[in-house]
Order: sequence, then structure tokens, then C-alpha cells
Amino acid sequence: MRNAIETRGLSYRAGSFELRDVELSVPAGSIYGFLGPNGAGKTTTIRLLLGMARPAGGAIRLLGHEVPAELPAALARIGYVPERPHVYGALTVAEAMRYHGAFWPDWDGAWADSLRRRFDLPADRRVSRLSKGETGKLLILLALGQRPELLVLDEPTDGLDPMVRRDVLTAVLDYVAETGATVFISSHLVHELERICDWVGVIDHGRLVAELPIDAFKSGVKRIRLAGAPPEPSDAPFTVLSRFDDGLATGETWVVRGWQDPMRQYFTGAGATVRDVVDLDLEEVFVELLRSSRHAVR
Amino acid sequence: MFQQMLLSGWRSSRWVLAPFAVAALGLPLLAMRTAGTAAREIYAPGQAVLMVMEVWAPLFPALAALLGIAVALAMWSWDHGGRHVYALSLPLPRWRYVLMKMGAGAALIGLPVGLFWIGSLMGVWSVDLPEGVRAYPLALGLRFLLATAIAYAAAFALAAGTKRTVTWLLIGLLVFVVGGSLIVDVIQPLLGVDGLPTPLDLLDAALIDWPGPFHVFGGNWMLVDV
Amino acid sequence: MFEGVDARSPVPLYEQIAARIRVAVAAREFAEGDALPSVRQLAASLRVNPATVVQAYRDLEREGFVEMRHGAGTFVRALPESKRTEERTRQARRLVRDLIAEAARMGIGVDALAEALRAELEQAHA
Repeated sequence: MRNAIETRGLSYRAGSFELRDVELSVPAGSIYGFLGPNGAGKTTTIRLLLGMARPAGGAIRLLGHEVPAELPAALARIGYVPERPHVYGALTVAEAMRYHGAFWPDWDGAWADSLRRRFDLPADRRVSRLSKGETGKLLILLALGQRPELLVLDEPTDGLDPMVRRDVLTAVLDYVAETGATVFISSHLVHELERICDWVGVIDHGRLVAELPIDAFKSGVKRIRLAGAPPEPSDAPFTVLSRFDDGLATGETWVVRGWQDPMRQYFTGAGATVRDVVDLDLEEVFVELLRSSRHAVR
Repeated sequence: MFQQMLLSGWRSSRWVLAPFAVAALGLPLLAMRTAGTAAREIYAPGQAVLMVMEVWAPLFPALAALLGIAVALAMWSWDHGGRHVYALSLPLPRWRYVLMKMGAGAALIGLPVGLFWIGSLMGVWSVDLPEGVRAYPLALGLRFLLATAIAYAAAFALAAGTKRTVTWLLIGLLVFVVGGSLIVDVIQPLLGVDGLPTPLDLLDAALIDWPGPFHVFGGNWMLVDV
Repeated sequence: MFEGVDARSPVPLYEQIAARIRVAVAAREFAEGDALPSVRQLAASLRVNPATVVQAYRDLEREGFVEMRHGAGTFVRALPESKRTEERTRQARRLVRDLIAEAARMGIGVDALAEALRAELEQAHA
């Protein structure tokens, strides 16, 4: 199975919000970061993937199973951590684990309990009395205890303090290293995903704007500091994502994609010089990409 | 899985089951105690007992309906709290989940229903009935079981939907009954006729008169009768 | 040893990890036969994708620094002196390359840079 998650032409409408033609391909065994600003459609997409909402059109395959025709078979192999806690608050941690474990064929109770101890979660505390961080850890615990082949995590560390974020991510990475499971993790916290993702999919305003391996995403996007303000070369092999004034009145800064060093000559011909070429981190690339894609739509 | 469903059903409904259990045990007992007092009348004790029973009789179907509805709502309360996300993420077809939950609730309802039987039997055994009247604890118990089951099933089906569908259904029902009654009140004098069926009449005919589903609620609920 | 592995750097993470191990091996911080941290351990402690660690270890294996024994782990190999020297030279050239690039960014000319280098080296030896 090449792709753990695959969608073709996925679309959805609810009120004024719309998902259009989303084509996701999440390679099996990868850690795929689903990035996007708030309101872009991340949670909606995840709900559609897991059969919790009905799409207006398109096809979805999870671990080779068609959704919704073979949904229970797919869900049996998928660990899901939703944005907001979904477990029953009146149960204690231990009871919640027992309840959860009864429904999954591969539940590993002994391992789940060792995770519980590692996470320092008291077995007899009611779920509704857990702190935000403890609840976050419980949700990951329940998802991992199923020994899934695919983890779908919707903003799993949002609102958690750094210590808890570390614990959660470490547990996930440890599991992936052991089992080679696929992870589909959505977040607007780009920095955090930068270290762990191999693939990145960017969604904005209901459209999938980009999907590629993380190195390809980052590399080739550079910030060029120019002396002078030349016109955009029409025949250049690089794409200008955005350009703006330096604020120093001596030149401009361009953000380009597909840059390679020999391309400096394009500027010398136009009477400008390249002062500096700066690499951007994932967050900056993400911002620039959104900016240029929104501009293009307009 | 069913075991866990039963356990979670118990946890979500135990504070509802408790008072109903008390009522289910107590109501027939109290009914028979007052019947016992009436039975000691010198003049026409049989009539006196029947008159007492007629007062108590409507309480039994009311209890059955409330019990069925309350447990049905309790069984779904946790799911509604989380907007069904947890249930939808479980790896089993929705119909199986619903069926299992229904079974768990039905098993739990057995407790107050059983107590009603016990209360009826105990009550009947503790009273010497006068000539001409007999007690029907088993028939009443069966009727109670059936009525509770029907109320539970109907309420369960409704509660299984989203809050939105249930709200619209109830609003629709209210509009039908109230609006319809108003319309009938207006039309009757306009057309110069009388006795047009009101919405309540229509509901009655559809649901309670035989072979309507809620027929059992309209039947004979006398614990003691001729 | 792995502090400061920077996801935002243009250098890919696997290369940063491999580079540090190379330096450590060349400087004899690891003896022959020492085990490197397991992929699981290192990935979890650095909070990076395990595939990243695997790639780093594979690159190191290709270059002859380590040996991946299936099931047992990854172990440091005996490094011939020539390779050690080669690695040190590589590191030195990289440092100098970065220095020159940084100086250019700041507008410092080659002569000024060479002079500064000479002066600092003198002071360091004193």
C-alpha cells in the first residue's frame, strides 16, 4: 500500500465554508504535516477522512479501504486524537482505558498501562478532572494503545505547555520508530512540525495549496536582498513569490522559489546586485507560500 | 464490548434509575395499602376498592413512560455531550453500536421493572380483598413491562439522532398540535360544522387506538378489578 | 553532543546529526566498537523523525564511520588515521568557508579578513 491516506477531488460545503478539490496523498510510513492557518479547513478535512461528515464529492481511501463503504475496517487500524477531548468525562482514566480497549482488536493493555505510568496519569482520577495537559496525554495514550498503523492527530499539542508537548511528541516518535506507522498531524504550529515531518501539505481557505517532501518545500525558497529595484525578469527560471521594499530605500527584498546561485546574472543584467541570499525556515516558507497563493487567487 | 457498554450505561443512568426504582417498588405497594384500607369498609367494600384503584391506575402508565424516556435519554447523554465524536470514531458500524447501547439500556431498565413486579406482588399478598374483586398483579406487571419497553424504544430512537433533528421534531409536533387546534377552532364556526377532528384526536387515533404503537398506554391499568 | 541541532538551518537535519558524529569519531570521542544511540532513542530524545536518524546513520555507514548491524544497533568502526585527518581537514575548510561568507555579508574585504585571522591566531598562541 503506497499511500496511507488518499483523496481525489474531495469537496465539501457547509454554510459559507467550502473545501474544493482536495487531493491528498499521504505516503505510508511517513510523518505528514498538514499545515494551515486557523479556519483553513484542517479539522473539516480530518472529519471527512474519518467518515464523520459527508463530502459533497470526491473519493477517500484510508489504508486501502474505501470510505465510507469500509469505514469500520479502516478505523480498526487508525488512532485518532481529535482537537477537543471526546472521551466520556465521568469515567476515570483506568475506566476510560478499559472502555476504549474493548473496541479495538489490537489493543495492548499492558503497554497502554506502561504509557499511563510514563505520562504520570493517575488511574483513578476522573477524566473531567484532568488538566488540559493530562487530557492531551490521555488522548495520545488511547490512540497509541490501539497499536494503529495510522495516527491521525488534529492539533494534538495545541494549548499544551512545552513539557507536555515534548512528552506527547516523544511518545509518538518512539512508536513510529518501533512500528513504522504513518502519522498525519495537523497543526498551525509550524515550528514544532519542522523537525519531525517528512512531508508537508498546506491548506488555505479550503484549497490544498502545496504538497511535497519537506526538504523540497524548504529548499529552493530563498529571500534575496537586492540593491536596486529591477523589474521581474520574464524569462527567469525562478518564481517570485513576493517582493517588498527594504525600508532602507536602497533596495528590495524578494522571496523567490526555485533559486539557484548562478541566477544572480539575471539581476546584474538589469543593473541590480544581489547583496544576500537567505534561507527561510519552514514557518517563513509557509507564510510566503500562503501570501503568494492568496495573491494569485485574487 | 457489551460489558463496557453496560458499565458505561450504568454509570450514566444510575442516578436516574435510583428514584425510578424506588417509585416502581413503592407505587403498587402504596396503591394496595390504600386498597386495603378501603377493603375494610362495611358498606360495598368492593366498590370502594375499585374507586381507589381508579385513582392509582393512571400513575402506572405515567411511570412506565417516564422511566422509559428517562433511561433512553440517560443512555445517550454522554454521546450528546461530545457531539457523538467518540462513538463515530469507534471501529464498528453505527447500527451495531446503537443496537448494543439499546440492549444495555434495556437490561438496566429491567431493575425498576422487576421492582414493580415485586411491589405489585408484595402489595397484593399483604391485602385481603373483598368479594367480587380480584387482583391482577401479573397482568399489570406485563403491561408495565410492555409500556416501558415501548416508551424506551421510541425515546431511544429519537435520542439517537442529533439534538437538531430531535428539536425540530418536537417543534414540529408542537406546531402540529397547537397550530392545528387553533385552525380547527377557527374553521369550525366558519364552516358552520362541529366535531372536526383536532390534532390531538388524530394523534390519539394514530398512536393510541388499536393498532397504534402506544395502545398499551390507553388500556386497563387497574391492579384490582372485577 | 546533539544540542543545537537546528531544524531551521538550511543544512538538513540528517546531515547535522551525521556531521556531529563524524567530528566525534574523528576526535576519538567514540572508541572503536562503541554503540551509537539507537534510532528510537535518538529520534525520541531529539524529537526528530526516526527516518532522519536512519538516514544519518546510513550516510555514516556509507562513508565508513559506522557499521549498522541488523538487530544489534549501530557501532563505530576503527577509523584509519588518513580518514581522521581527511575529516579534520574537511571541518576546517567548512569553518573557513562559513567565515568568508559571513565576512562578505558584512562587507569585510579579503585582506582585512586575512589580517584579522593572522592577528587572532597570534594571540591564541601567545
